[in-house]
Amino acid sequence: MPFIQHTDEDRAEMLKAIGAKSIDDLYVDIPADIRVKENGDKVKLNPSMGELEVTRHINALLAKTKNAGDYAFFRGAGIYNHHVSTLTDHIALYDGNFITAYTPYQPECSQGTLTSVFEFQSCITALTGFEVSNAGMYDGASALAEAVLMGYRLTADKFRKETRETVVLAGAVHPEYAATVKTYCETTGLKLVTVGAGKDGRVDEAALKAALTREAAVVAIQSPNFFGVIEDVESLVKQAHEAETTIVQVIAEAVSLSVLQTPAEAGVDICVGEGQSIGNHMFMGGPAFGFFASRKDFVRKMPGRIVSETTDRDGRRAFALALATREQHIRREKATSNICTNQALCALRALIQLAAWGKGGFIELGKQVVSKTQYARKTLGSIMGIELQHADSPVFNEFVIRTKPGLDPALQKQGIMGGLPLDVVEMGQPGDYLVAITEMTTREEIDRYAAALTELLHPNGHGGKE
Amino acid sequence: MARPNNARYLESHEWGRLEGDGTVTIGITDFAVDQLNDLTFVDLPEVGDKVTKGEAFGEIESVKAVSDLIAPVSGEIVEVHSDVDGDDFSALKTDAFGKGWLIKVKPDNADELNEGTKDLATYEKQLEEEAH
Amino acid sequence: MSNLPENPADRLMFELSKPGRRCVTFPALDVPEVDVAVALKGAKLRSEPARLPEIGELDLVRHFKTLAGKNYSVDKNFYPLGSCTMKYNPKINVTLLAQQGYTKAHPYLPQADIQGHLELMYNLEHYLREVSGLDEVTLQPAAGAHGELTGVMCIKAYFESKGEGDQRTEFLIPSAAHGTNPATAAMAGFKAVTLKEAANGNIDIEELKKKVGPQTAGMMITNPSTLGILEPKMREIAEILHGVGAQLYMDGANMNAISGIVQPGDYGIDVMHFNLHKTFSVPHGGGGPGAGPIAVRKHLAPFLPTPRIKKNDDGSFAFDYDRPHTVGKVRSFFGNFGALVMAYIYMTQLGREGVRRMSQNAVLGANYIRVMLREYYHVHFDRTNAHEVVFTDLKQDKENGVHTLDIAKRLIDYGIHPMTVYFPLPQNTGGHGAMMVEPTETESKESIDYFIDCMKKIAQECKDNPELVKSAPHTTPVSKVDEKTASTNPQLYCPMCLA
Repeated sequence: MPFIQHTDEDRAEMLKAIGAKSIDDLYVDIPADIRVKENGDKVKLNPSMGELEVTRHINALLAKTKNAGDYAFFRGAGIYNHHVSTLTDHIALYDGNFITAYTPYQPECSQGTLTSVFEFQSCITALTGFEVSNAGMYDGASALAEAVLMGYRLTADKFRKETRETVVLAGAVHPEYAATVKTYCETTGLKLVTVGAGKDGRVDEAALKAALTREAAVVAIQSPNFFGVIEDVESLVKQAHEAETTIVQVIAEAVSLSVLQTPAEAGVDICVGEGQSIGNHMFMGGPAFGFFASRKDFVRKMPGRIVSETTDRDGRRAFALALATREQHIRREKATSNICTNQALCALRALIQLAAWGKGGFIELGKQVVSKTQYARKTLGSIMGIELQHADSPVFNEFVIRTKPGLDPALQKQGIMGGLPLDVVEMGQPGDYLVAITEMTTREEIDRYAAALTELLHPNGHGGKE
Repeated sequence: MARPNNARYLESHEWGRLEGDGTVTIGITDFAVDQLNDLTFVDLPEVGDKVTKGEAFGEIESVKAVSDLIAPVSGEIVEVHSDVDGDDFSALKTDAFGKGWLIKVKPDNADELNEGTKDLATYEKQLEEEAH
Repeated sequence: MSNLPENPADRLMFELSKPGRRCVTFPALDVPEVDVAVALKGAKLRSEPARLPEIGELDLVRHFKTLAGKNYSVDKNFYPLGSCTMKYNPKINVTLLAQQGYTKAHPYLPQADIQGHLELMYNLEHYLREVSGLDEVTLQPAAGAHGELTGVMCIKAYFESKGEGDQRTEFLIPSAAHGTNPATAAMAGFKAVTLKEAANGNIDIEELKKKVGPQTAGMMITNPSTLGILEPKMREIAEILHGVGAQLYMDGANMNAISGIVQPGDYGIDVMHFNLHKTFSVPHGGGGPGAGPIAVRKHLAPFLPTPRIKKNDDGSFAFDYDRPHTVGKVRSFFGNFGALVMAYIYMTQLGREGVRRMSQNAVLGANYIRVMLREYYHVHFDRTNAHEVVFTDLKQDKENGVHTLDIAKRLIDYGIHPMTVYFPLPQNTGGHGAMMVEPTETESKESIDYFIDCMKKIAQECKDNPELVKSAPHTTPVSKVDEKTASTNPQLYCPMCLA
């Protein structure tokens, strides 16, 4: 049998030591009438397959797929086609010392994992400006939901004599994140109010003001938001704090932290985000990880694992899990969250990738993304029949164009995966496309995309606006 | 450390003492402090908060455990020992029944302190039993 | 302390950093370079670049290889961490996953481009339906605790749909349950009501009958339990709960004992989760990612998260978002797909008989360890156990003042990762620290015998030289770590990374 090393002789010796006649004797506590019979067909699984057969099977499944590498690729919306360094896979995919260990509860034989988590936290601190980062969450969506719950606890604890149970969510938050926040709010009994975006693609500040009643506990925004637009975070923070609420910022494209003001400097209380774009493959949207950062004062309200530097008995530097009393294995029903297993390996990937880019590489990456995005926005925007949305608002790596619906199949035939049709995710009207750029996008691909769009919109000739 | 005779004790190792001014001072016993030898944090409520007899009014943490602090009497908190609220435990360790007090409560009914609580002798008997 | 020169590979990357060093370079910019401040007019920018380390490629590799060497892992060490099922992770899982068809699969690809991925998920759902004996499966939850939350949300939505939402406020949870169970119930807005176990470690049926009622939404039960024993009265428990209209949730953390042996659906449970990183060999990754799919009975299926995966009449596969009663989304996209691929490869290799052999051999190994060590360590419930066995330090504590943690640390000196300690909590193990041992089916008899010999030797050391055990470990890169300071005076980042 695959992966089992016992011989019949081993099994016989062990049974003899136990004093059992057969392994079946060890299952006396399962009523005989529901026990699955040896060689029966009650559990309908296929016969066992060897390495060669399963490889063939998987490759046959893969033959029925296409991926970003098969296209000039302009889709993002939360999962981005960045370069992943070979170093990242060599260490975090193939080194069994990282991938076949578990949660570092025993620090003496887990210093490798613990040190890397500490370095990961330090990198998140460098990116966000916050003094506290945890070891990671499942993804950006659930990290935002947990941040909203934490934000609620912070406000509720401060104003214990009031009932403040409303969550104010920006409408330009990623629809998958918004849906997750809604689920968590419904189950915990918090009220959710959504504030839409204005014509400029940013939070409608007048609507936000109206939503910030005394019942409001938390404001949650995304910047850059789902449309790619960079919000005026400082102004939103000011409003949220004037209303004595907690403000959470979520970031879907973590690479934006290379050039944009840190959430800590903007005054945000909790910053969370999706970490996929740093060192994690796309994998249909997971696994990657969520990051979660906040101020030191709030550390006891934070969910998830946290690693601290300390010393060993001989005074040497060592690392250990810290402040574990927040967590479910100790505080049980009063824990800050039920999270246990997280996405540690994906966080390790981000650490390796950030170090591989380094300080200089990360800023260069950000600048390349901005330059290419500007080029693409200008190039596509100059085509007759394409209208840039939120044209006067700053964007980092994504932007929305409005044109004729239904262009997608024709583009795909030419090997171009155009921007995401926003009507499909109920974030726009037919003909609205969210176009994403990374450092992988070449000028040639952008020009090809533009030419194909021009051809589709103007089959009989010239499509320039001049 | 001598445990005071004029306090009442809970099975969960809190003590409460009726003071001359009618308030009740509440703390935890030296035994509890010893048991939680790796104390890391004490979380106390605020002045003006209500506490309910038999229910938690705060928490005390060690590296790998959290325990509720149980109120021996119901009433309104009039004073909180701010030195202890947080992570300074020196007073708790050296003087659990004096400088290591946690909160002072104006009781709704001071007689309640005697209901279901133990006197010193009964509490010390409990400690002896727990040692076995 | 030694006077050896400090090895740079032992420093943090931030401490190795020197301006100008780097690994990755980018192709020359092929579009006009813009001034970021001008291009992003109206947005606030960073005042200085993020203080990431600047490090050369060899030093980066050496840094991480040095760290890797400081970990114990299944590839290198026997790792009997109870309730975590630290089995061998076949290399083929990772190799097949690393193909571009997976690494570059974007969640917003058209469904025509992802038919092979949808088919894989559809097949994996089928596998889990068969192993659970339940009707429908979602693969979306990212981990066991996330599966618990999703399952409990479905139960809540079910009662709300029946107009019993306000009435059903409590979840019953055995006192020895994993901490995620009560934390999950609380997170979903229920009151967690603790059930004390009977003296033999099983559910106390009388206690259950006393606490169950019209206010009960459900009960979470782990089977085999966290005490390593199978619950013989599962069907009776299910009947009691169903008798008051409540639901039975089974925590499937310990499915490595019973997969292919009994379908939990036959017990009468309504919902359960799997931990694919435990039972079906997704590598644990130093703490994750795992995957926590849930399986439910028909009446709960309308409430599962969206999207569901359906097979069309023409044999193609599609996402189904048209689920009006769904609880909604519990995370983005479709789950930890990469982890699902690895579990799928593993289950496909095992097949029907392999899944059954997996459980059988896991249970065999754990019972063997119990009988071989019962004279040396107190077995809390000395009866036939499942895939893990719980010892305590009762003997060593009474006779030599040596405790569970000391024994665990001493195992490290023998090249073995410690078992799970102090879980279940001392209140569930007679006041003495638990040592929960789970060998898994993939360990050879020789490795198991080595563990047994080491445990016997440590038992002797506790008598002859207790100080040796209490001061362990002696062979690790660091000696016993001061975990208290980590919590009273936490230092959570390298000071060099923040201005």
